[in-house]
Amino acid sequence: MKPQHIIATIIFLILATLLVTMSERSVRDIQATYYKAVSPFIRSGTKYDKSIQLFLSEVKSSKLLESRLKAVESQFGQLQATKARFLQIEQENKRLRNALGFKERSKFELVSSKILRRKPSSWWETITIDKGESDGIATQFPVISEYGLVGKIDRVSENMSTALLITDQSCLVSAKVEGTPEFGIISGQRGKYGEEALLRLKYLTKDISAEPGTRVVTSGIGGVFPDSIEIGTIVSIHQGALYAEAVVKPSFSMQDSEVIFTVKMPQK
Amino acid sequence: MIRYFLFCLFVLLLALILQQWIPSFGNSLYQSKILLVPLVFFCIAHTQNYIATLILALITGCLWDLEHTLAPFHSNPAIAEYSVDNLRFGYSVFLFGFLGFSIKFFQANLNYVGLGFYTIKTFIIFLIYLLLENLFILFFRGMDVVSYDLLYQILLIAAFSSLLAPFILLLLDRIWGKSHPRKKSLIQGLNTFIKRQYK
Repeated sequence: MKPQHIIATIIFLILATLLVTMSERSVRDIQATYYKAVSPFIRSGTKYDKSIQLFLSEVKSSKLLESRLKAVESQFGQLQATKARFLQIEQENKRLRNALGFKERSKFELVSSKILRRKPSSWWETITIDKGESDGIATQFPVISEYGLVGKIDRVSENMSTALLITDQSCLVSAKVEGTPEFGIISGQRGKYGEEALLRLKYLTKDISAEPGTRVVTSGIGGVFPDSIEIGTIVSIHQGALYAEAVVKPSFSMQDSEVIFTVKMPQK
Repeated sequence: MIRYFLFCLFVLLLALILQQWIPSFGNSLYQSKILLVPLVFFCIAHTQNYIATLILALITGCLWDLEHTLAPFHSNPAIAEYSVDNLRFGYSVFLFGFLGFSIKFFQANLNYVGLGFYTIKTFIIFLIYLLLENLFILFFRGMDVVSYDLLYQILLIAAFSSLLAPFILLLLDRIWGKSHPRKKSLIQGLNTFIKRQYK
């Protein structure tokens, strides 16, 4: 190795170490500038991706689409009936709450967003959405869909954000098993895709009595996620030496949703 | 040589923009995707000298981490004690630096040239890159079971990405060839270019 190569290697290692030891705030600031610069490309990339997806979906057999349409039509009728019943119950609920003198619980303030990119990174389970700081979104805000909990906001730029999905190993959520006093921590698993993207609910008591199919919802402990948002349903329970662990099928599927909602939480 | 270095930098930035438009291949192919930025860096490392490779490793690593680094996960007090650690910003700089060094090392010690050889070499470098990155993640997040799905994903990313290597080398050669006047066919040009690297 030539002397100048050794000097170059030493300088490289010093600079790389300086980069690794940079503070989180500095990294976030640089990252925000970076995302501001690349956001036009991401947006145009999404259009291109969507047109490919549209083409592929049109190629699908019309028979399949027809049968789906029929199923959707019948579901729509059922939903209309359910909606009417729901509105009736909601009004009744309001009346009863007022009668009892309870304060009406504040509802979520939601920001609807379109998914721009699904899983842009190889290893992390993330999505990029088209709403950012200018829409009042901040880091750690929960992200939900009509099916249940999606994840939480991880990175925010002016008009774009990245959400970490609950299927990622690092997105930990305090959860409870509905109808039981069981609390646990739910997280995703690395390297599991599609049907296999199941969640793990850890630290349950050894003699848990929940059955497969039982709903798992957020516990609300810690204040990041509001309570009682559906996460998924239990598939199986495995007894460990100290704790039991449940395998949970998430309610949210990344392929199903185009629009998701960010819950605006009160800033501390 | 400065002009060629600046051109390489431009190609890297272009790859970063194009990377935004490359979707993953879906669940049937283990959500694998073409990683254009590392691929372009590996191809450029074949054609640049050692010092330029290190500078480009620094830039590529920074940009790659800016694109992918996540926030710290211990924000929720309820789950703080169960939180897993994550890779810090800048780890890719070390990774790209090491791989750039490896490319130069093999280049100096293997006296064989050819288009297929370059593709296989890029494939191997890609495998090393992805395996090392995964080992880092395992180290920081705690040992977990490495699933077959993950291994298939690594294999497919390396395979799909390295298949593009000849085209990128060809592109670099065509542009580089402009500052070194020689009229040859594309393949002849590439072979001369590759042979020149091993002189």
